[in-house]
Amino acid sequence: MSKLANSSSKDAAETLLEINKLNVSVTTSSNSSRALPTENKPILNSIELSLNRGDVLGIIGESGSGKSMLALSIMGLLPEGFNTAGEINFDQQNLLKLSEEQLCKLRGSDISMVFQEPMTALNPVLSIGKQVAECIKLHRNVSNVDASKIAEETLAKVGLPVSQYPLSRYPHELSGGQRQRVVIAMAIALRPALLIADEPTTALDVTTQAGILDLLKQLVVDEQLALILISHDLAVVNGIADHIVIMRNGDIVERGSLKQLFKHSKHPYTCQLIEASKHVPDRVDAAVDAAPLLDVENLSCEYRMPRKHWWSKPRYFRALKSVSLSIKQGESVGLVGESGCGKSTLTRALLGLMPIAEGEIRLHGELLAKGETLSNAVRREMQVVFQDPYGSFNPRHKVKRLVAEPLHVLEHALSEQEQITAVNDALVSVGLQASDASKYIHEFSGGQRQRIAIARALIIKPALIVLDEAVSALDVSVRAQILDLLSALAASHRIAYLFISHDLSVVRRVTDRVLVMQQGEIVERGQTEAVFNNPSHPYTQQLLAATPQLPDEENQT
Amino acid sequence: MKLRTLIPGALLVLIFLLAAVVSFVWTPFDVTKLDIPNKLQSPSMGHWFGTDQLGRDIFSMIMVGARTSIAVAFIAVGIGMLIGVPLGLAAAANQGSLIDELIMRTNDLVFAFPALLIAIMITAVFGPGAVNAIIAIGIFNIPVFARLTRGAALSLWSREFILAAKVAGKRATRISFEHILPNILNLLIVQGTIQFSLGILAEAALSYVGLGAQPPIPSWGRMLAESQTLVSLAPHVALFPGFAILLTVLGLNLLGDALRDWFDPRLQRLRS
Amino acid sequence: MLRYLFKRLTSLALTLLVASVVLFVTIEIVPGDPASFMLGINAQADTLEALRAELGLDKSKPVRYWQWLTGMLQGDFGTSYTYKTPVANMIGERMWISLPLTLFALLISTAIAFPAGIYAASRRGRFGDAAVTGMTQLGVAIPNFWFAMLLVSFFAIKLGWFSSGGFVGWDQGLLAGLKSLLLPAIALALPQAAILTRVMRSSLLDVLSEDYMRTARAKGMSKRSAIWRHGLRNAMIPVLTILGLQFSFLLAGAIIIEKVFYLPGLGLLVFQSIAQRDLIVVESVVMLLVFAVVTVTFLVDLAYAWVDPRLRTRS
Repeated sequence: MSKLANSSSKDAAETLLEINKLNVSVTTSSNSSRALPTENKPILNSIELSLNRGDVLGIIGESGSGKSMLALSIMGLLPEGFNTAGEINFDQQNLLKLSEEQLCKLRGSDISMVFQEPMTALNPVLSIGKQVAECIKLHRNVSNVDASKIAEETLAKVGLPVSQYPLSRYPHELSGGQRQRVVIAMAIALRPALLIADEPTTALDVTTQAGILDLLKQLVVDEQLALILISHDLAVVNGIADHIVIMRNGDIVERGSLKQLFKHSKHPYTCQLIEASKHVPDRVDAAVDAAPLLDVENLSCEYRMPRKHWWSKPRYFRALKSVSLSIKQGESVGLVGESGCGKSTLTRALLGLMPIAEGEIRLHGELLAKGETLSNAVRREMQVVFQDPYGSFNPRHKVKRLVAEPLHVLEHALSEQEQITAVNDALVSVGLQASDASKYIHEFSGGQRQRIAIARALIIKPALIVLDEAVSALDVSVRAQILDLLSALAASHRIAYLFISHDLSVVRRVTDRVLVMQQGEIVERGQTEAVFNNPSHPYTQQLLAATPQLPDEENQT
Repeated sequence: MKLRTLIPGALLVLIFLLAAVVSFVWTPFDVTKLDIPNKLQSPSMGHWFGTDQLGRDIFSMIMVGARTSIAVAFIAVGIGMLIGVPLGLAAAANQGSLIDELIMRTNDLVFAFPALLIAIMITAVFGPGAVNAIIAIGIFNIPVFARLTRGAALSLWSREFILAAKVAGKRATRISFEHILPNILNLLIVQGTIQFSLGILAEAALSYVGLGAQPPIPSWGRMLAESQTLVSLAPHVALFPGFAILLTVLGLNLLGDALRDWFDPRLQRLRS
Repeated sequence: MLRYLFKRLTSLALTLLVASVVLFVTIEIVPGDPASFMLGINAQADTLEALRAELGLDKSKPVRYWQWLTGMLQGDFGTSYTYKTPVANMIGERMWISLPLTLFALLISTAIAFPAGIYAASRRGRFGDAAVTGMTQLGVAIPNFWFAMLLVSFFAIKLGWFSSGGFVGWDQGLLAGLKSLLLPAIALALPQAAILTRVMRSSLLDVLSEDYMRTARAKGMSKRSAIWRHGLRNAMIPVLTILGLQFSFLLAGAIIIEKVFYLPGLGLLVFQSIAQRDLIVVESVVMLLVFAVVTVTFLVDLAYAWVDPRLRTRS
């Protein structure tokens, strides 16, 4: 370790990490019975990488590309059952040859890692001070007081000064972004030579993400860290990474600088990925004189808070404050905002899933009843597609029954044959086959499931579909296909969308008008291009500034 | 893993079920007939498990005892499920409401009385007997199922497919039975086998202290109580009924574990 | 924290109050009059009346409930119908067998289950795990009173290491007292230890797959110290719940085990009283046991707050 400390005044081009012919595979028993032979499934194939001190490497890949497994291989933290072959040379020692004890000494001290999910990455029962200090005590022979002191300094360095965030805080008292800062503090407390950040901002809001990315950028300079930044999002690594590798199915398909890759990529997958990241579907603009479909006036909604005592009056949290909006027939309206801004509450209120405290909702000019239950006539007009392609379906029903579920709000019950026809039509219109109706949901991929969710919404031919983060959980290439499908359906079926998303760049590409929401209020509204090009509210400006951009978008704004 | 527990578990349960059913039409000896001259005989070709202090055939008594044990435990679990599951569903469907609060507080109250205390109170009032044992064990089972159902159902109510069903205009009761119940059925079946085995242990304990099935109905617990003073003299009198209880409970637990593995969605994905 | 404490205390008092009502009403359903039961069929009408007045049976039900409740709060549990002595004295004597027995068993159960559960979880899928899990399968299935009988026949009758029953009394010294409670405590504890081991194992396994365990490893902790430093305390949360439930199982189980060992504890008192229709004793013992169970539940709630800081700040 001392060797590393000495070499901090290093030659800029010195190689820190060199990976040669790294192969990783996982042994799986092909059946629950142990008697049958085991299979060796390859995870990473002949990976070659090298990283200099103080450099930043971006690793880009969609789910299943093996990018996280590569990170865990370097850390020596692959789960049991994984086999490795090849070399991972870190500071002239092959990590794959080191004993577990030697690896423990390196981890946290010379190589550190930051994970995706800050909400669960910290131990909930220990204070943040203890958790950071523990890291120091593990590797350095220092007193508790000194360890706390270093912890304090490190936390200040990541933007959590002790005056505002005492060491005695527990993780649950911090927000997601603050927790991620604590995790970063633990990782850099001992000035490691290499920091691996695996999707460190994916679970965070866009403004929080910008803060964390800025912090990482600054640490690279201040601490002379080498950084491996893993992401599914090309825009996130833009402006940080010196080099980029693109991974797919355990292979590195292309490498180079981001600008180079954008200008002349050689590999078709890279081209496809870049195209999908900035894909703009063909859309038909809504007619300017279209009839109004949905009008919301001064809508407010409240959640009941837990009572302080069982005799105290219930308290309420106002999640929506006097929200007004209108959607015309066939129009696509975007609603953007960060988590907790009230987007989901608005969805629930519109769909009649929660009671309304004040305000009015009109559909086709007719006032809806205020109660929690909507009439079937109203439900026929509004459907929804949720974010999670895995949680949106009852796993015990076949696709036929899942897609047919909304049919029962129809005025006249359909005959068996009519139902089958309706299901088939819906499936075909979302690009699936009629034969898929007799399958179970677990036989489909995430993108296909989202198509089925759209089919379910489509089957009763609603006038409005609420898309609640409907493409957020999808890989970019799948997302591009679903966006195309939605645009095509809007044109052919004359459907209006309320497109709710935290992802501004997607909203920009698929909506006519956009609403920006903050703390239960709509702070800005207007034609999408106008708002994005010339935001008037400071919050909108802040959101736009924080949104990571691809190299060729930077010139536009 | 799965087969290793499933086969012995199912086999043990099947054996005792069979013994209980067959005992209705046939037992090697009449369990009500006393044969004092042949008392306390060791196991032999004539009496497979030997005879007790009154000369009755222990094998036959165990067969009939299986009937008592299984019937009491089964009905008690049935009561617990039939009342507990709908209560749990109702509580989850109306989370935070008065109904929910009422159901959960009543649950807490019942949990404050261990099963044996309920049995003691019931026997103190109505006198001992198999029916009262069933009621006592049944009452104790209600909150177990209510709590399990509510917890599992609550986590489902926030899932998006339930929201989708609501958007499709379905009412809470219909959603409970159409979407929630089928998805928690596996949990209920697993818990059912566990409660079944606990019920058998509870019935045995109640019979042992004289609060369960009354003579002349044979029961494993009372057989053990009667054998207590004879353990050193004729160990087989105490061993066979004890093993009967042990093996039945073991079988049910193994079966429960196997079912849990079978239903576990994480394992399911690996299997397919 | 104070608010949490206060909230738990209120709910404790409320549970006890409702439990006492349920108990009182249940016992009131019993047909027959304790006074005539005590005096026999040939009792004179006026002696009967006198006894009824003495026992307070002539008053209305709410009044009697109130007297019973306030009496209990002052340590007066009424007078036994059969023995004509204060119930409080009878219970007081017996409690010093049942309560130590329960706690002793809880101690043994914990002392076995914690190491066994941790061992099995850290050797997941290997032989040690399979061996422990197999043992727990047997332990869960064994009826404790039968196990007690086997212990007696082997250690007391065959080997003569212990007496086969009865209690020497605490005046013979702590060790002698504990020795005569040892076999009953083991019989009570082993099946519960098996359950606790399983809970400890599975709870620790759940925790091991948590993200913060991976964070701890990324810090440079060995697997073992990660389990000790980060795993155990988090795994304790479900274990505490079961520990609380076990207390009530053990307390009730003690009643049965006392019969095997002829221990003059609350269990024997209850069965005697049921046989003699001495319902005021049954009522008082059950109320006392409910009190013990509810108190332990309260203590478990406190332990939650100690283990989990999230509970301290939320009310």
